[in-house]
This record gives sequence, C-alpha cells and structure tokens, in this order.
Amino acid sequence: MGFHPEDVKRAMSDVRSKSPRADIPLITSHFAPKTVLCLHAGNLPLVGWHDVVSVARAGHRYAGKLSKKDPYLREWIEGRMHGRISDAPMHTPLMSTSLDDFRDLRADAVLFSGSSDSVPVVMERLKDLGAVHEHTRYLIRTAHTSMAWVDSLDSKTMSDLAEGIARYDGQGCRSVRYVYSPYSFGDAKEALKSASTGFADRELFPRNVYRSAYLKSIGHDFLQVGKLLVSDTDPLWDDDDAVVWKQADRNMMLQHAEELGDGLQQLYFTTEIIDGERWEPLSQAQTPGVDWKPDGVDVIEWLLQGANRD
Amino acid sequence: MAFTELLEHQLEHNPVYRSFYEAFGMIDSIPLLPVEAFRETKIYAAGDHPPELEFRSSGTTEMRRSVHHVAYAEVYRRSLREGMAYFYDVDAMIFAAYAPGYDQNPHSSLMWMLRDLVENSHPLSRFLIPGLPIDPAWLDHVRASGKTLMLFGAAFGLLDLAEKHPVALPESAIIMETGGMKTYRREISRHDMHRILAEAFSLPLGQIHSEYGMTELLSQAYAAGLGGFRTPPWLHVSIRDPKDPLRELPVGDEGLIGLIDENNLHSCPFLLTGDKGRLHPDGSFDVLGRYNPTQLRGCNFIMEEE
Repeated sequence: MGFHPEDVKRAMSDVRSKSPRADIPLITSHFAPKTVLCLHAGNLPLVGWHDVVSVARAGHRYAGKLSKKDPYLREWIEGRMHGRISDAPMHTPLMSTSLDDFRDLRADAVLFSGSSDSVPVVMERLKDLGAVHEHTRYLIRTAHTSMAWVDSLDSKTMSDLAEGIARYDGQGCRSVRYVYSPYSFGDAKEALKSASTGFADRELFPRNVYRSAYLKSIGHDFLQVGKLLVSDTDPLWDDDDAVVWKQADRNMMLQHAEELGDGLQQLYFTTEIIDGERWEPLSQAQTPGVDWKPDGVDVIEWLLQGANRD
Repeated sequence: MAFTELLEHQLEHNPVYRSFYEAFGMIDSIPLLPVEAFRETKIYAAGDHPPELEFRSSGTTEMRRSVHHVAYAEVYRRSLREGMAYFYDVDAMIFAAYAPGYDQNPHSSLMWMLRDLVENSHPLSRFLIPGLPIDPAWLDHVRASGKTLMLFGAAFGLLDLAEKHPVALPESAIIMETGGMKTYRREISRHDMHRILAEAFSLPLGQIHSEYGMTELLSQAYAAGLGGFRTPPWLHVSIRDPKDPLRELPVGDEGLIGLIDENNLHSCPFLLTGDKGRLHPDGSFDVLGRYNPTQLRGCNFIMEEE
C-alpha cells in the first residue's frame, strides 16, 4: 500500500522547509566521527529525516537501512544532504533497503524505532551480520501514539485536529489517537466533519469498515476522518486504527498518559498554551521541528554523549 | 445446521446482527460480530420467547459486563453435556468443582455449568469448599468407586488450591482448568500453570486439561495436556486477520479467534473474539491470550522481507 500523493507532497515540502543545507550546522567536528546506522521505518514518507539530520549535525557518519516503501528519503538525502552526512565532503553515505548490505559495518551506534517485541529480533540480526560490535550503543524508540487536549471547537482547532488524526493515514507516532475534551463527541462531530473534507477521498482501512459496521449495529455514533474512524467508544481489541474521543477533564487525560508510559509520544494543546514535558501545539502534530524528541530523547544530545564518553 | 440457515435466521430475528451484516453492503462471506456487542446491547434472536437464562461475565461494578440472554436452558444443558461427551466418558466421571469467587456471580455461566455437571452426575460429585483441603475420606470413596475424577475450576483458584493444599488425586483423575487468570497475583504461562498443577496433585502433565469457553458462547472447546483445543462438530473455529476480520488466515498464522457456534442460534452464532489464536493443520487451535498487536502503528521499524 503506497502513500497518499498528498501526504508525500506535504512531507517533502515540510522537511524541505525545515532542513535547508545552510541550517544544518555541524555542531561538533572535534570528536572522532562515529558510524551511526539508522534503521528507518516505512510507515510514512520521509519518517527518518530527523535522524539523518541529527547524525549530520553531530558530525557522524550516516548509514541508513531504508524502507522499500519509502523511496523519498533516499531521494531527499541524495538531493539535499550530500556532503553533510559524513566527515568527508564527497563521502557517499551507505544506504540500502537490505540489511545484508550492512554486513561487517561495525556501527558505533544504532538508531531505530519499533515495537518492543521487535527489538531482540533486530538486535540479533545486526549482531549476526557484524553490523554492530560489542560496544555499539542503541537508541530504541517505542512510542507509538499521541493525545490531544481539545478545549475549543473553532474551525482552526478542528482543522488542526483533522490534520493530527488523518495526515499520513494516522500511521505516525505523532498522530492523534486519543482526544480529550470538555466537549462531547456529539458536540464536536459536525465541526470535525466540516474540517475533514480535505481527507474525504480516502477510504477507511478494512478494519475500520468492520468497526463502523459494528458501531452502527450497536447504535453508537462515529465519524470517518480520512482512513480513520473517530468515536467515543473504546477500541474493540487493542485497535491501532481507532481514534477515541473522551469527554473528560485534563487530569483524566494525564492519568491515561501515565498509563501509556513509554508508548506515548506527544501531548498536544489547542487554544490554552500548556507548558510541560511532551506538550506541543496541536498545529505542529504532523510538522515536527528539527528539535523534536522521539520518545522524549534529544537524538543529537544522545549522539554527542556517546562521543564524549569515548 | 448449514451456515446459510443460521444466517437467514439471524437476518430475520436478530436486528443487531442484521444491521451489522447490512452495513457491509454486498459481501460473499459471513461477518463475525465482535463479542463486545454483548456488553453494549441485547443480542437476541428468539422473538417473543422470554430468555430462560441470563449469563453475565464477571467484573467490577463499574465495568460494563457482557450479558448473554439464553432463550432455552435446555440448549445450553445439552450443548455442554454433549460437547463434553464428545471428548470424555461423562457417565464414568465424578465431578469436583472448585470455583472460589465465581459463586459471588449468580449469573456466571461457568457456575451454571458446574452446578449442572455436579447435580446431574455420580452422587459423589460435589463442590469443593474454597480455602479448605480436599477431604481425604471423600477421595478414598472416589478411588473405591472406580470412576474417573474430573476436578473442574478456574485456573487461579486451582493454583491457590495447589499451593495451599496439595494432595495426590486418584491416578486416573483429570484436572480441567477453565482459564481465568485475570485476578491471579502474577502472570504465568499455561505450561507453567499445568506443571504446578501436575506436581501438586501428583498427576502426569497429560492429565491437566483446559477448557475454552465464554459467557457469550453456549459451546466449549477442550484441550488435553498442552495440545491444541478441539471443538465439537457444531462449534467452528477460524482465525481472522486483525487488519481485516472478514479475511480468514491460513493455518499457522496468528490472529483473532473467530467462532461459529450453531447452538447460539437464538443469540448470535457468528462471533469474533478479542483472543489471539492459531490453527493447527489437524483443525485444533491454540489460544495465545488477548490480542495485543505489537503496536504496529507509530514510527515502527518493521523488518521487511528482503
């Protein structure tokens, strides 16, 4: 299943605006450069761009296991980053969609995002290939979901919410899966529906077709937003494509956030600005800045700590 | 009964299932209704006939519990007895039931089942008293009877009994655990649970059996030892793709357990559970716990086929 063309266009434009070559200073060049192997997911276009920029800014050598689903990352790296990804200006970064091509790489650090279940499998595979060595450091990100506090139903907020839910078909860890609000789903439905027209050409995921039939049969209301389904009913099984609207206060949201633990990526605010760890404006849900922290970890800082330690 | 007849009955008598089915438009398969529907609304397909039984799942007061309105008690009685007789010589058995906690739920389908088994079998069949050791004199009588003892109970209760009051059961005894680990104080695998029960009651591992059933279902599946669960001919199992539950998965693949229970004609026979399972080539199946995808959404690294 390929990406929606509008999502690709949006990702290219967003990443381009955030990473012009002049804006990617090498933070350090006095450490011996390390080889950093980035294992890129293919769940949304250009999803690995932030890791690439971070490796470049830390002055390390980049090697990237790309996803076959995402040819755009390679295109972007080759087109815009060449010469900044390694210590040598003309060095061509090692990129491949096959892990076998990283045999004997002996990377000093590995960055990847994935489910906790996949971690041992991936690490074992890398060891078997000699892609890592015994002192290799790993930055493993497992967050997979985000929540929004929606304290207004104005058109800007609803538009941001529709974007937060449906952009990239809701497949990013920054995508909104839980909406907490003083308003009920019934209060918000029409406003959200009006704000979602830009995603009207997208068909529900098969699982959501099923869910919509189920919700209809038990008389529960729902709304299609792109490929996703929003309702105030809890997911059937631990359903990753369900977006749940909860009418509750912010404390309930924070309690839920705590329960999600490491699975939580971001908390978004809308009209009232909220300071705190992991809080960001909802309008930035799908347009993270170069400084965003996957799983709350500053990638550059993590890479530099490694350099200092050695 | 053919699936098409079951379907016709549902479309005619079960408004919830009809709405569910029609929401798919034209399809060439029978969609399975998520069992959660029993928590949300009344699932009933027996017209004006009032339900003779009402089963409710266990849970705390603030939890919404599943309610299964059973039109005919006799259908459940026959289902459980004939289902068990399909795999066991029920007439040659003495039943002992140990279900602490379940007795506080007057609408428990498990309790109804145990009561029926105990009251309608050999006179030595009985409920064991929670918290107390098994009466050795009674065990002697069971041995002397030449019958097979089946100790039936929820897993956590049996584990407590094993820990506090281990005792050698008659050599031919079978322990039937019904799952139900939610309230147990620690997580434990089925293998470890069976090992503990086997050791505590001095039985070979092969004599620790499992039952798979639920409030929403009038039929049960059974597994001997650590083998796969087997069903009577009227309970049909398939494994469904969690990403598209209309799609059946091939043997060996993990997915959601789908069930078609012909005896559920008067509620809903077509059920999709939230349990993870896997089919074996011989038609038996494994129950692998609650379905909990490895969070496939998110910035996940997915090991692609190379």
